[in-house]
Amino acid sequence: MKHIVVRSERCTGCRLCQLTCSAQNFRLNTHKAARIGIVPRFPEGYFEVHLCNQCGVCLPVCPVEAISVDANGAYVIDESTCIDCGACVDACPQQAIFRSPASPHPYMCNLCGACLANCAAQVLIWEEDR
Amino acid sequence: MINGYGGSILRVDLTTRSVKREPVTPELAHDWLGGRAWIAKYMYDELPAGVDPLSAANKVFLATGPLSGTLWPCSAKIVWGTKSPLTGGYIDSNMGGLIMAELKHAGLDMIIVEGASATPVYLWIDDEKVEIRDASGYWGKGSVDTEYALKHDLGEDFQIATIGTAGENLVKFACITHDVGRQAGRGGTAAVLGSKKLKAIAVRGSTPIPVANIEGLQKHTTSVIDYMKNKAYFPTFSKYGTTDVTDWCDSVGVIPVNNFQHAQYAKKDRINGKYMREQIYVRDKGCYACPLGCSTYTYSKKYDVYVEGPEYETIGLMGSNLGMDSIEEIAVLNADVDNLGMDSISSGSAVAFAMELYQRGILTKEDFGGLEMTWGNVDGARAFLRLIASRRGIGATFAEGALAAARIIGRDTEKFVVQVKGLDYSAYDTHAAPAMMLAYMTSDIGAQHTRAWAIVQDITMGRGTTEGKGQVVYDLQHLRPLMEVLGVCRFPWLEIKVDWEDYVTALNLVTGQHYTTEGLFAFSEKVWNLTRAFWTREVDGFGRAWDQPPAKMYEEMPDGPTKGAHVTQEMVDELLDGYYHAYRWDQNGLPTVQRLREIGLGYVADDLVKRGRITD
Repeated sequence: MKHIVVRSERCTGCRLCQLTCSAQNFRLNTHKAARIGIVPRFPEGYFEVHLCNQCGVCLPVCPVEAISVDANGAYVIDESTCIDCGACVDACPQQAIFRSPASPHPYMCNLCGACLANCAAQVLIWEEDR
Repeated sequence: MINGYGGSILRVDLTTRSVKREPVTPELAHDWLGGRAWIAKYMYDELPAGVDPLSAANKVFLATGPLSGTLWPCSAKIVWGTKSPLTGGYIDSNMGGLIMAELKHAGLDMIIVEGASATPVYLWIDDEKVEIRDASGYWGKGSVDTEYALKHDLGEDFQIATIGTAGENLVKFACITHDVGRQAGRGGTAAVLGSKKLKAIAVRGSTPIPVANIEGLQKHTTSVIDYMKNKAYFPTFSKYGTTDVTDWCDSVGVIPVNNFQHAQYAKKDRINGKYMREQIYVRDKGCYACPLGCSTYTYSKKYDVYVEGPEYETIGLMGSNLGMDSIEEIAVLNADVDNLGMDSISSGSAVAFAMELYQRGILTKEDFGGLEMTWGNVDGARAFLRLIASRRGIGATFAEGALAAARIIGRDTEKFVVQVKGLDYSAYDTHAAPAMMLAYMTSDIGAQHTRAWAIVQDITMGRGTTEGKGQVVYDLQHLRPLMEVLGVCRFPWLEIKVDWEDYVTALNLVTGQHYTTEGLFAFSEKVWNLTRAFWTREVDGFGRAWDQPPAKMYEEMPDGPTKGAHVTQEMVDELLDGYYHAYRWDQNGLPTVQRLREIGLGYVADDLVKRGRITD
């Protein structure tokens, strides 16, 4: 299995990853439905990139056991079980579980990899499992 | 819902403190697309003829295009327009960043700001909610400082455009700032906002932009980005951005030095992109949906200052053109004008003009309030810029713009100002670049490089020749301004050679329409004629006399790669003859009734005839 490594020091803040993610996963033209977060920090001049790194902290936090790991190693929230309590969102040390009008439930990176193709700064790259 | 559009135009009347949403009709979307085309149309249709640019009757237009905020690479452009207080004619100026997407997410494609408030206000937009809010707590702050303060108060997820103290004080080349270092720089639009007491626009939206074929757009985008990444120039342009052109401009003798008195710079290696990268680089920064990330965010340790840039234009106008020592001096000057909220091109021109007057003894230390305005004196330049922004002392004269300042100072000083139509030259000398000079002479906002950047053609076709240059500029003026209609950046096309047809494909995937290059170029000609018609309507005696190059271009370049080069009246006449012929305008450079009717501007022809500006 492989996961996505984030090299945030290369991020230019262009949001192409978020736009691509939203298009791929929700068929929406927006950066606001993405499964990845970008937070600009200025005047110091850097961008925080928030992306699930499969640490697993969310899994035991979920009171209804809605979170599982799929065949690709991605963490997935089962929408039929999730009660949208927000415990996972609050617990995520990466701040990488998101809410948006695109879904009634929180979500995180599903390792689809669509964003990598459009991240020309190569902030996001695949890495074989540790 | 219209694919590619937020769906509404927001009309804000600051006099009555009222706002209203008007729908974007399918006709407006299809027939006029957006961006600068909407601005040209609304400006011609809605501004009273002869309006004083700084009066409440002038309006400011802020328009996105159908590709703005989409997944298409570099869809980051938004265009500001008004009747310019600097030139008295048509101005539009675009900026990158992220606000264009936010606006469309709030369901808005354009904002029209009308009237004037008696007290400082800012416009707050949160999806469908719109408020005109008190801005007295921000008035008096710098552009960048205001953005940070509003982000702090409203939240990071608001996108904000601001004016600085220069705009508040009606400096006629005040600019609008957004996303720390993106500016709509030219022509003094921020002074018009200042006259209306509008300090900022803050916007947040949540609705995705409707796209006809999102799957197709994603596929097309990924394919184009893949093409871009594999082009040899991609890593270089991503790394250096516009600063990469510095060495080239020096080598071919077009870099401005000491107010265009020379065109090669001895300290070139201390102001170029490579030196900048070594000395002050912090991070590459990209506008919305931009795989290039051409902007460079920097920190000058010497002056303890952060700035986005400098870009090449600032390196030229505030560096070599002022005789500055190194990129650190340019960075601090850049940071100063950014926060004061002044166009770095026209600021550079104003300071260079002042320094040349000082060099020639026309103005003295006493005239400058004790400042020694010698070439390379960064402290003098910084203090002088503050005098301009606050209109104190001699700054009040130069706050009118370099050309107007020369007219106030008199003593035959107008010949030292490098401008066309009152708008100062960008950073490309034209002693030996006739096509580029024609581009400045005929740009529809005054001497600006972006409408047609023709130096490459000057070099390939011959630097002394005028033959075919009118057609070159005509062709460039059809394609390049379309970028500001669609709401996209020209750099993928210009620098990385992304095919123009790929833009058309993206437009059709987004809108679901069937636009063609042929149709878009015909449309572009219509828009160009409309802005020309605006000048014709607004400026008494407008025509050929307004398309003349600066006096300096007639003088021999004393040294450097273009030593001995100069322009003649015969060359100027040949250039304009060829250019007017291409547009099918008359010998005075005015659109004809017949031509206007042919391209769907019959109502404009009738209006100009009625006003006695052209004859039937």
